[in-house]
Amino acid sequence: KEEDDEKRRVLNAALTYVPTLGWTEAAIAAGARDVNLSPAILGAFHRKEAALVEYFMDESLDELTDAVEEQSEELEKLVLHERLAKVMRIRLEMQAPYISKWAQALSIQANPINLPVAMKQRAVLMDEIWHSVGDRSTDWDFYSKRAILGGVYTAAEVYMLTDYSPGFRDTWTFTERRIIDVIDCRKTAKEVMQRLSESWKFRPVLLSGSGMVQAAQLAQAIGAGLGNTIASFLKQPRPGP
Amino acid sequence: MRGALLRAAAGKALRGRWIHSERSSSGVANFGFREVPEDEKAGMVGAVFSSVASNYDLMNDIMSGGLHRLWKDRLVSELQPFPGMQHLDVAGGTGDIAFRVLDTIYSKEQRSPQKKEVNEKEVVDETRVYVCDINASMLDVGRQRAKTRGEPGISVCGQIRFKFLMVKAGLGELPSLVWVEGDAEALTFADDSMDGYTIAFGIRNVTHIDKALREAHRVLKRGGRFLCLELSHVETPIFKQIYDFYSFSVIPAIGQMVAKDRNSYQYLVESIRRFPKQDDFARMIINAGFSNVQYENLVQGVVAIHSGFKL
Repeated sequence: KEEDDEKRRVLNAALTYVPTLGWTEAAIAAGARDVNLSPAILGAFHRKEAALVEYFMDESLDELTDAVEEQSEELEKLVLHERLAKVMRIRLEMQAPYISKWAQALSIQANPINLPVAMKQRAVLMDEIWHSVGDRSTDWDFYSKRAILGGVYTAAEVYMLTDYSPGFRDTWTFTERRIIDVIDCRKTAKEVMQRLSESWKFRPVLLSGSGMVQAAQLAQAIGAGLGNTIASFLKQPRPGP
Repeated sequence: MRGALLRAAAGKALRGRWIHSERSSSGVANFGFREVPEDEKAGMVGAVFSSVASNYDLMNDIMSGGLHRLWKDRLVSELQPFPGMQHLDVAGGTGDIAFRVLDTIYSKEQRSPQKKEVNEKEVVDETRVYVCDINASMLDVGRQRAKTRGEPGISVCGQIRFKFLMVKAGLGELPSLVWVEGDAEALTFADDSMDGYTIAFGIRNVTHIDKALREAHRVLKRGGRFLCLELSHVETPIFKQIYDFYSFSVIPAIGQMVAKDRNSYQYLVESIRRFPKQDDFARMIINAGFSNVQYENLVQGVVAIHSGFKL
């Protein structure tokens, strides 16, 4: 519809003002002026700053899809964990121009009113990343992969906020290491789960959701080679999305 | 509320004129459940308000139980005024909406954390609220109020177009509040000059509502917002009965006790029922060229705020 097109044009123009004005109504008003619309158009956006952040997330997703298509040949030459790291790097680099105000964007997304949309956009993003590296799983793995990658992505995003190395070098190193950890854990988790399912006495633990999480955590501990004892494993907090 | 007084004047002071006036061939306008010649209505509105301008607020308070203040607050908060805004309030002679808009802008200026980026004082100085009313006495009341608030203002006679005004003022500098005598159906403002347009409890008194809407569309900038606050229709089953009882039995009785004028209030209530329903009025707004037209019912539909954007 025409109104939506106009709104998108305003938000697009507003993005250029984000590094100076932040993710605020002032940026949207400045964007509106750029496209020859009165700042009164702000009234048409229901959750103003959130609309700007969400627009950015959607645009970045589209750009990611395009970039992955362009670089598909190079990506095919890489191993799985390198491929994941590269795709995540492409996506995170889109945030680089706005990095000075990205903490503000995160806090806007964490606002309870905006949280559902933000979570959905992130879920779609994780799905896109896995899809672009060639994941075609159709079992429980589908969810666990996206959840775990979501954790890695968020960690990398937050790390990037305080990364002052040239070209965000440290963030990319961090991302690669976390992905390697996670992939190993996944495989080991599968093996451990299989072994557990074979032993009958673990049945009540298995059937509970928290039991599965605990099992996965145990597998992570083994896979990462941290050598945790069962006791310290029990004291750990649950892994989050 | 204004409409009430139309009939009062028609009944009392203008009766002689009414009998001797010629019926024009252009058509008839609604006057509550009566009909009057179109060209007469605007003049009658003007004449009536001259006599009741000073009591206008008292009447509003009595009929709405003081709620009209909250409704106007709601209208202005929907508008979201910003510093540097060019705003037009039509049929707002006593200045209720205009003062609220200015207050919001001044308080936004103080709270703004972006002061370093933009020269705030300059931008706030550009703010301009125009109050347009067909009736000079209502504007007088508004001007008095502005003086009490310490708000400098300037008055303009309806015939002058705004470019001339800027030249006349000499510096291109006007104070924030400008009182203009003019007709909603034929505004004297330039095309694409306003960020916002409000009309609160006034559109019912306009003879040709669609003309007023088209004028609103004309003077608004692209992206500008149209807001209309008006008494509207209640559909909720039990509340509708209570509201009808209140309207047709209680309000005229209060009018008789307080203003010694039952007829005006009877007329007022009838005129509210004659005004188009929320959806029909929304359609009229769309036909005038506005996009993203929505309405919000306050108090189950006793009052409705219609909003549209020029895109």
